[in-house]
Amino acid sequence: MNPVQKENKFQAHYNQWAQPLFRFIYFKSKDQQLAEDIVQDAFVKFWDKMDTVESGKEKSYLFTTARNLLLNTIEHKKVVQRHQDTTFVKAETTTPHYDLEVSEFQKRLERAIAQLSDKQREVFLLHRVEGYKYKEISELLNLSQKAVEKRMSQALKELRKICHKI
Amino acid sequence: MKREEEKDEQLIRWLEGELSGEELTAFEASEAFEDYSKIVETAASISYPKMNEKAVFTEIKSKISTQKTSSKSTKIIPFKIWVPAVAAITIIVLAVVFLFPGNVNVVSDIGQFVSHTLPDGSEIELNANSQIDYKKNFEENRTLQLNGEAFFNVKEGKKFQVITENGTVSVLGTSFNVFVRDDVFVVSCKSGKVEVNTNNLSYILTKGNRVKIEGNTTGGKEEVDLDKIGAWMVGETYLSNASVKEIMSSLSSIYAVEIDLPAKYQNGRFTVSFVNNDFKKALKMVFSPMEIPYSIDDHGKVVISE
Repeated sequence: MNPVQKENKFQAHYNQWAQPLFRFIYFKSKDQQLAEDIVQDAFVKFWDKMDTVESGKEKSYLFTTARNLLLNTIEHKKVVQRHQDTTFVKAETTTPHYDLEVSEFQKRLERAIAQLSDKQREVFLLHRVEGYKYKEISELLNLSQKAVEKRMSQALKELRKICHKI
Repeated sequence: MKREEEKDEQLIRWLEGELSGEELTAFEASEAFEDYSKIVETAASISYPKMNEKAVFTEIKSKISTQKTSSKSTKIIPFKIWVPAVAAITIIVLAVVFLFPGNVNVVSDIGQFVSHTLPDGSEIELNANSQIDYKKNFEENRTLQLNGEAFFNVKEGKKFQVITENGTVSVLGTSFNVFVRDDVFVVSCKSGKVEVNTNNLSYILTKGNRVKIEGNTTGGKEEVDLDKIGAWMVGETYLSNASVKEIMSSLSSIYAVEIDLPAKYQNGRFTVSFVNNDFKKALKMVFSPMEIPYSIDDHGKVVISE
């Protein structure tokens, strides 16, 4: 692979996977800045390893790397989740019409999603927003499919409970 | 309890769109259905934050390019030199293997650096203008021939021998550097233990030792800075207590230059180091400490004034 080919290939993978990778990390961490940093570091590592990553395994490499980076960050820095008690969606995304367009129920749900455990929220959002199948999630998270399904049903029951309570 | 598990199972399969018509009707009739479908529909319509793709990409690019240039401690060889070198060597190796099925021959040209993994997993970094040869049954008999300079990282195992015109280096599992050009033979041991034998001399080197043999003379075993062993792999050539001839020979194996030194500059010994990726800078790094006045003419030729 010559340098130009390598850069083109890199750019193509970035265009395809940067945004999904960002959401993957964000769903679990709830930290937008952290997720961007991790995407950045994962792609830098990917660049170094590009010649050795098998064709077709790029996505798997990126997600595994990003996930490990997140686990390391959590472990080493004992990251205090900055948005623990706030709503899950950041304030910047609101527009003047936001309050009118968004139902009371949606706001409740956003808060409920933020309250889920990291493990439940991750599985729930990957399935419902990203459209991954349980099997795909189990591969991404290196879990059994049963464990993923269990987290999913727990997440849904939890959301239902929280939404009712509020 | 059984009932609860069945319900979970149903919920899970509903989300994946796997319920059959009948099962679906039953699920839709349950009291939880309305809540769940509202949760699922609403969750999908929430607008989640997006990453600033352009800004992040710019940062990635800058990180990648700083890695490329400031690689003193990491072993990255600039693309422009490296890529054609690998391509060229691959062709040479293939050609030689094809022509002489019993042997493998790896050659690095002037200005090229080559990484090569031996059949037993040992690694060799071949400096510019160097060559190794070994038999295809290398794993049974770990012996190879070297001319030029190479750094070896030997996998533990049976005896490993580097045979040169000037002497033989034998080890079990270690890392070391061998330099052999003309009548200069230098072995530096970075880790483990190395045995060096010439026609009339024999040395055992341990970590941080080196021995330099020129013709039939040697200063014996010397201490050497560990960082300097194989420094050429990180883009720097380091020559300690070297003759002028040795320095010129190293310079011309990295850069394709012929330098005619007037006789008055050909004596003396020097310790110099120079970069491997910037010719003008390298000349300055070599000639300034040696106090040799030089200039580069219009044709790029190095001129030493008498």
